[in-house]
Amino acid sequence: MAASIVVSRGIRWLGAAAQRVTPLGTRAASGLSKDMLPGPYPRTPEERAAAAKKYNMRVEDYEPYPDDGFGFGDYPKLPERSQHERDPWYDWDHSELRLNWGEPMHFDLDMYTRNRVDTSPTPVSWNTMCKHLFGFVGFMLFMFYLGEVYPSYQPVAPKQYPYNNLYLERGGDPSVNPEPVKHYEI
Amino acid sequence: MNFTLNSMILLSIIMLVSPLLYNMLMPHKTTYFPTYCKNMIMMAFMTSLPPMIIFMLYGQESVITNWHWFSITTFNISMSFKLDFFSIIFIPIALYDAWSILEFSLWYMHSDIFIHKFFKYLVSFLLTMIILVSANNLFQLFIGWEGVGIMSFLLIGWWYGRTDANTAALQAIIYNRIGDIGFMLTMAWLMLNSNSWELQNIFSTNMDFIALLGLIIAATGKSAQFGLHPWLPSAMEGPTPVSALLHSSTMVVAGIFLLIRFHPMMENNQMILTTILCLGAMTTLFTAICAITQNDIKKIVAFSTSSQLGLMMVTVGLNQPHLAFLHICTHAFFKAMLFLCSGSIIHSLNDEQDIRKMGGLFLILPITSSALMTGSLALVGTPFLAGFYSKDSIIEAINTSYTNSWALMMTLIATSLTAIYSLRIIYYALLGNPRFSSISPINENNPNLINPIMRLAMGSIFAGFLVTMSIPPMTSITMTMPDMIKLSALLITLAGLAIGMELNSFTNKLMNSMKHTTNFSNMLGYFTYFTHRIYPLMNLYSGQRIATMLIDMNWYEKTGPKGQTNIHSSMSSLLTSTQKGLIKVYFMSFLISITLALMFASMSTNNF
Amino acid sequence: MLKILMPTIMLIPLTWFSKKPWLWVNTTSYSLIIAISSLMLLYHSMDMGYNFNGSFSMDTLSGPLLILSCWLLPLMIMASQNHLNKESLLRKKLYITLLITLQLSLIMAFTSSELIMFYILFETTLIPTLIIITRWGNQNERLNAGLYFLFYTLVGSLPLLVALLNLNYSLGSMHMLTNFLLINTLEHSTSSTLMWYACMTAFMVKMPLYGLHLWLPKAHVEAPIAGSMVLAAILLKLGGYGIMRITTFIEPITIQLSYPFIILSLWGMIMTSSICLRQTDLKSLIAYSSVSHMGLVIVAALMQTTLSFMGATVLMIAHGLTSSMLFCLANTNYERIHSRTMILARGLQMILPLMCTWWLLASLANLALPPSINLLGELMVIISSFSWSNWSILLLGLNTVITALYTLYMLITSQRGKFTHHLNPLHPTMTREHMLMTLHMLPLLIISLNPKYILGTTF
Repeated sequence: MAASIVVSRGIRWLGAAAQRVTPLGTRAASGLSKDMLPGPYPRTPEERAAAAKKYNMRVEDYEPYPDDGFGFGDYPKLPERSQHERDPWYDWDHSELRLNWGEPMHFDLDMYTRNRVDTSPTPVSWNTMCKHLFGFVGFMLFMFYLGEVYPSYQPVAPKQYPYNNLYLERGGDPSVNPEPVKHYEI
Repeated sequence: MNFTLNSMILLSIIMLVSPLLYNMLMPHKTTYFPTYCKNMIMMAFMTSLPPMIIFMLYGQESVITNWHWFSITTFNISMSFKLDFFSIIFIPIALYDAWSILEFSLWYMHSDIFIHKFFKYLVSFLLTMIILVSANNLFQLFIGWEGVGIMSFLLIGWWYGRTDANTAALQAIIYNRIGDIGFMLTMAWLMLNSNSWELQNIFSTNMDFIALLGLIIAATGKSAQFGLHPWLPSAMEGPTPVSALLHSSTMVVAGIFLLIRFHPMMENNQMILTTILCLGAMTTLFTAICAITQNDIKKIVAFSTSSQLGLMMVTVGLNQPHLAFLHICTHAFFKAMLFLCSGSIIHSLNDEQDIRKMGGLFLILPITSSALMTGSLALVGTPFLAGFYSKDSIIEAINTSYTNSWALMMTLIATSLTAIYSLRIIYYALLGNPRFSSISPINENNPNLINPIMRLAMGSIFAGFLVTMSIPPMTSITMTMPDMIKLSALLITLAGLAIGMELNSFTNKLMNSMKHTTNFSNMLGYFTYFTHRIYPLMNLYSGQRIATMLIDMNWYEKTGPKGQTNIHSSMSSLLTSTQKGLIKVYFMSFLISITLALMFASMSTNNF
Repeated sequence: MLKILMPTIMLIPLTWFSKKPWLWVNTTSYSLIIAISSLMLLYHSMDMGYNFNGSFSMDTLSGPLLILSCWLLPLMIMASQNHLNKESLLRKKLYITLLITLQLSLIMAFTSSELIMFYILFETTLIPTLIIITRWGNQNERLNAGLYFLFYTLVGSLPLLVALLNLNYSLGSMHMLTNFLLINTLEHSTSSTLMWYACMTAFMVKMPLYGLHLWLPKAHVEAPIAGSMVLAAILLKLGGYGIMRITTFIEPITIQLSYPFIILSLWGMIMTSSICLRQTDLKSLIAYSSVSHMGLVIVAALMQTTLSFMGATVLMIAHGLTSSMLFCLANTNYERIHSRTMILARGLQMILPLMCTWWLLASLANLALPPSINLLGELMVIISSFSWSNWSILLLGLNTVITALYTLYMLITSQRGKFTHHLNPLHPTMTREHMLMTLHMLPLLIISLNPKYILGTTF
């Protein structure tokens, strides 16, 4: 009896704890503590203002992720720009991450660090790059195919072997005298 | 004689271990450790010479099997070394290079407080490289294979405070790992089909296309062939001695070496040979194109290395493994020396790597300049320097074989491009007026700097002749050919020189009319923009959005624990709401349960 | 057998009678002596193994796992010292007692020769682990994690009990070592299929199979260091051990029924590795990497060939030591920085250079650098799955690439790069911590020299 009471209390204790189950869409898959999670999606302008203040942003800049059930909550949607693009000569608090203290961090910051994804603008447009690179590779592959169809070679004379062009070694009939083969005239 | 050969080679391997042991036992004694490492490698080189001479005189080869690791049913793995032509010739060359480069590092890295650690890494690298070339066992080969990869990771990321260095190190390991898939594929195939990883047993099986393709993938990753090449130029973030040792003369040729080792398996497989040939031709052309507009002196040399690796690949594809090996050997000398020269220039100009900011160095760095010239001339194949023996024969061989005509043409074009970028370094760095800042600490009067360069210069002059003398004639060589074909290597190189002069004057006079071509070449053929931006973005983005958020946190949570919680709590609240003391509800539930029980009972009696 | 069991039981009174300054010293050294004396079991005079008595026996499969669990107790005690610094003496003793109880039930679980006994002890291990997680975890979420841990495992293992009782009824004996002498074949019918699922689910959840793994990252992250260590090192291996044991009872339908599970594991490995790539939480990353590695073990255990069983055994031992070491390393960071967030703790190589060496070694072991036994295990699994289907090499190869990626990403983020200024008051590493890492790394290196002892059944 006492045991069952202990068990039921234990389960109730665990259940009560589970009331505070972390909502979905936490950044780490293990589940974060409540303080580290974003708040609910802001619906009214006042809520937006509060959320913007919370994330240290101006209201004009603040824009949450769409409320599509992924659990972004009121986390601000920052431009998809990698840290590569930031000024390397500015005196950042974290020079390596090019990030200041108190600055809102991108949701995918760990993806946009300098040794991962780079989104900086390219000097040549993507269209041109695609055309040139794939054109080059495709052209080369095609020409390799052509080169295989029309191979290059130097004209060579047939191989010359002794013993009447290896008559016996090639399985000639030993009883029949082979025709003498002369490779060259002196 | 057998005894001498085996024991001397093993002795020289043990000598490489001794600095590591010394450092492990007495980690605080670091002052003379670099010098000790250098001397030990010199001794190891000396020790490895007698076996080479024995081999040259008597053609003595051997296999040492000495330590049984473990066995799985009938499958044995033991430690075994194969001392044949390739390993006996390559070990002294690698040690000679390493000796020079370590001595150079004494000068180049003298202000680094962790110089002893740097030397330890270099020696460990050398050890894994020797294991790689002398392995007679696929597993042992794999130990060396991965070992050089990891050491290259550590050495490229030597200046670990720099993000770029870390990125380059990571790139190197990822590209190598992609190659390793191929290696594992071949290992798996061989284990299943020949039940052995010993080379002599493998050579008696008939490997099919898949298994050989695995080897090609492995070689592509390690030797930076087209498709997996971008890590090699990035690896120049490492210190210059590292580039000289790993990324020019030893580690990067490991892939080619693997193909040479497995050559008996593929010499009769025309499909594989053609694949190798085309891959090599593509690489040598593409990287040569990239090299001609680079402005970073180390990048140019790196791309030229990549291009030469492509040439070696072409040679393997031509069914001439010994010629490829000859090129590995000669290339090791002059390319290591080119890197040492650029290191000397970079150090003298206060870490300036841009060739546009050099100029006029041949007056103030005479030894470096002359070595750089010798190396470049050897690289382009000037007669009777080291490169001539291998390069000229390769061009001759490809000209006279029955082969893919486009691959032939691309190789010839790449050869003439070699002359262009070699000329470019000489033209910009050595000739003309000085363009560097006037307070550069120029001084090349240090024996630690001069001796290695001189030693490698000797190698770049004589090595080709010496190694050529000892190559066994394995394939029949065409002895007669028209004059034009005999001279073609020289002619296209001269043509390349002429074009190179024109291109240089283009740059000086700002007559850049070929914007697209220049961009293509200067931005590495746009290849890295695709591989280094799109793949990581796709992979990382889907890793978070799909794998983590969609599947794990939504589907699995909602069908699993969260869904159960919801169902149970709603059901129990439903049931709770019926418990109101109303007798009708209770009777109703009795009625339903009795009816159901009767129904089930009648059904089960019908069945049995 | 009693030579190990009795001293382990006597560890409990030792703990309670130890004076305060001697508590850690006594328990650590005593448990280390037990661990060292258990090494004697590595020596097998016969391939069949030892039969200690009617209900305890040991063979080449359970031996290495048994020794691993003995070896881990001193390491857990050492790792928990700093973590329990502020607790009262009574609680420290209670904590150590729980660890000892866990060790006791693990030893008996690995050596029990009756399947029912194994089942009981398999469930017994839950209790101390649950208490360790929910009482000594660091955050509020530990309660939730404990709930996940308990319910996933319990729900999975209840069908096993039913199936075992049924098997006991039909076979008459549940002795694991003699069972292959009995001829028992399940005919192809729905009930045998159900039986197979019932037998497998418990172990699949424990491993965990991709899809049933949600409890694992939560439990690993919320558990205190000893909990994470024992979970990653041994408790997961109970699953693999169980699969390899129970498949002899439910032959021969495994060949057909394991198909979807093998595919799921192969796919799950890629997915969990990709999850690892984006984890910001160090412990969560290591936990997910465990899921990914255990996927390999599931593939191998379901493949049912000699080679794959060997691969599974080697991989279990190798992963046990490696992931436990990674958790220890993560904990040394956590004790200094008080956060598991990776981007907060960068460039530690400057401050803790020797710890960086341990990080490097552990990472290299985790990404399976030859000639470590991690590679040996992975290679065996790759080879056996290559013979099962040639295409599996694509998934497995991709997985090795991603494994290298996230492991080195972890290494580079935490160790390389510039040191951050907010981390200035770090206290230096302690000899205890280096000892802890050495005791993890040393067995890995030594076994690499002679992997014969952990190959499991090599015939």
